[in-house]
Amino acid sequence: MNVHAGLRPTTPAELAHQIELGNVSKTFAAVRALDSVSLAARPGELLAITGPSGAGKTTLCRIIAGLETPDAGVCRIAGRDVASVPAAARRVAYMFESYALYPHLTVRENVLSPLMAPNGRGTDIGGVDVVLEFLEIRHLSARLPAELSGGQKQRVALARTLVQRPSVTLLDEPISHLDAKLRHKLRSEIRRIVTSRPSPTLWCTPDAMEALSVADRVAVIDAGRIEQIATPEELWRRPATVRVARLVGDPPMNLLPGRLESHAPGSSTFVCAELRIPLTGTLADAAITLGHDARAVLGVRPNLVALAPAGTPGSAAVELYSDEPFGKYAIATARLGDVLIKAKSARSAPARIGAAVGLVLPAAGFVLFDAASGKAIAFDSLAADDHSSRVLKDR
Amino acid sequence: MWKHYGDVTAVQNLNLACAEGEMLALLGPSGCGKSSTVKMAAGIEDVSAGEIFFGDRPVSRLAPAARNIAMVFEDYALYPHMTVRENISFPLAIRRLPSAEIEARVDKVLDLLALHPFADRDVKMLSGGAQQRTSIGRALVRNPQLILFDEPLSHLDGDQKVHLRTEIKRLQKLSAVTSILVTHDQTEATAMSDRIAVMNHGMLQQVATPHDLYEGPANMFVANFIGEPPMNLLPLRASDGRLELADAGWGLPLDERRIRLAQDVRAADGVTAGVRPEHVRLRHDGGGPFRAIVQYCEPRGDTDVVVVAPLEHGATTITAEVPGPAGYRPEAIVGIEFIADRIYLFANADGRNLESSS
Repeated sequence: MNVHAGLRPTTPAELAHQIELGNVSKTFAAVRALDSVSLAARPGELLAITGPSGAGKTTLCRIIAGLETPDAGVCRIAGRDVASVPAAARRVAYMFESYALYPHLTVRENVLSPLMAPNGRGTDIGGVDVVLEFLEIRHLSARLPAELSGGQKQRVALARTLVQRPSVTLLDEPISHLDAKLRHKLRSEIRRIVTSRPSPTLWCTPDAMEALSVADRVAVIDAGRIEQIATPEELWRRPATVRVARLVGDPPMNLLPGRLESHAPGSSTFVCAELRIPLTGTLADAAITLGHDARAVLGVRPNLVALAPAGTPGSAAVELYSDEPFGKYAIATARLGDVLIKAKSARSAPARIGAAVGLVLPAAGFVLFDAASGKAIAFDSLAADDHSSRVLKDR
Repeated sequence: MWKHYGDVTAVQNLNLACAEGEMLALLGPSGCGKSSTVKMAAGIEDVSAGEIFFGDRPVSRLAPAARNIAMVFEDYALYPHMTVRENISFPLAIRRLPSAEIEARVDKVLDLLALHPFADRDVKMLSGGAQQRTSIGRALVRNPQLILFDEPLSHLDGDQKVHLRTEIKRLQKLSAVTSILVTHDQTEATAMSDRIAVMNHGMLQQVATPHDLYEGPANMFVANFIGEPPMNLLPLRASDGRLELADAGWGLPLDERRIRLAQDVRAADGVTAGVRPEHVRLRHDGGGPFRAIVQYCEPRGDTDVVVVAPLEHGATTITAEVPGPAGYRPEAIVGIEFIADRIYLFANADGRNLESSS
């Protein structure tokens, strides 16, 4: 795998400050926590690591910090293999998911603690108040951790990480316990701070949309393996695997299981329950390579799917399963046999729950996955304003 | 209804009705009075003044057990050593119902919640989502008059949260049990409820459908609380007979009616304009009525959230949400435009929406 995908070439000066993992593996008892993980982040780069809980995000951080030893592979900080460098000498600023605050120290003392440590050279005491201020915890400076809420403790741990001048910054779920408004504010503030540093930052989060919104590039990890490393836009437009597609989006991409009917080049049809979706262009070409009757998964983003009154020409009959009207958009779920399909649109669904509605799919914007490997094999690019519907034939 | 704790007034003169079969959300920041309200409905807290009615029946003096209420808590509150089926049967078993009836009612609930495959597993072996569905099953099986959902999703991971949000809404609609949802999360409230009561400092701010709350916020608090990213709130000033943004000097495209509304109150404490991020348009080519510089761009997949500062007046920022991925970069100069008929006006003195009060 090309760990530098999406990056310009590295200069020697930058190499001196980057973080790099090469084929790192780690097994706990019988569990493979990391399986040959390779990635790199350059100075000032914010690389997000996203994946479900248990995917290996925290293990990856602990190996970089020197709290775990990899079974195989190499970890380089600033171009140097750190296998023989103890944790305390690596100058890694690590914000733990569990916060790890000193219970007997005040908020201010906790934040200052790395600056007082023997290896605390090159830190920034003057910046402490600024950081406490934007995290909205300066008024709590004299409190003990036991007197704080979970969200406040999380911000103390974050402040303690941000005041350091480290070789690498590791943020393990830094804003997960905060409300939506504070998260929105802190994403930009944290990004501004860490990307102005001469060192890279890894930001771990199970929330793929958070990863997309803060990072220069995103690494998607699942079951200890890197599924894809790409820019947010690339990840959105071209998810490499079904696992990536399942994680990215709110709600994530619809993934319709089905099979291909390919009798002649250029005329393939994707069949899912009673739906028959004619494939064109790159999708049709890729379908041919999988062969007639191959199992496939067709992905389509909810914002490209629409629900219309039952019987609308060009629509397929489905049942309205659920309807959630948000303020600026609504998410309606339709049921087709065992498959649930979500539509995200400006309006509420045109029916009652349990009633029939018409499913309208777009003319383009699909991703075709090989069901056997889970890999994306074709993308059907979408023109910005193209929402005309693809004609659906009944079986 | 009122609730006092010593000198502190937690709930102030609350008048609120939840219709039969409705899912009503109580939404607000911590300390807004929503938890006190639901505890009074459940009978866990006494009412300081006022009355609670279930239909025509006053219940504020009834013990919790006499109110026929079921509660679903954030931490599930299941019996860990029991199976899913035993947990759901429990409220019926302690009432000593005939076992055939118990079995029939439990089976129906297991069906509704798609829990049959897990029926004989210990609940502690299940995912958080399945545990919370079990807890909802235990609530439904009693045929309660009212279900109180107290932050039911806060212990769940992202995808389980989204899935159960959809499921709870569907179950509530299918079973038509009158329900109250307590949450601090506007997304949950909007997704799951028929109407939302927004509270702040113990006072009801507005009660309306999610759509009406979003389209017609009664005051600046509701406008800022509902919607993410929040509405832009931009102070106005009068200049040469027109209204402009105080921090940018841009004249706003307001119609006659809005200008009259604003001028009526301007003399007192002034007016603030509210513009939702999705009603701000940006242009890559820098064209349009005003120009701004991009400070920050946050890709969110189908949209991008872009924070810009007016070109000549960097003191303020404006947040736009545009169809994505749009590829705006920091430092880029962009054109900016407000959709004229989506601009709200609020009185600074009391925060009220000038249009909803006229």
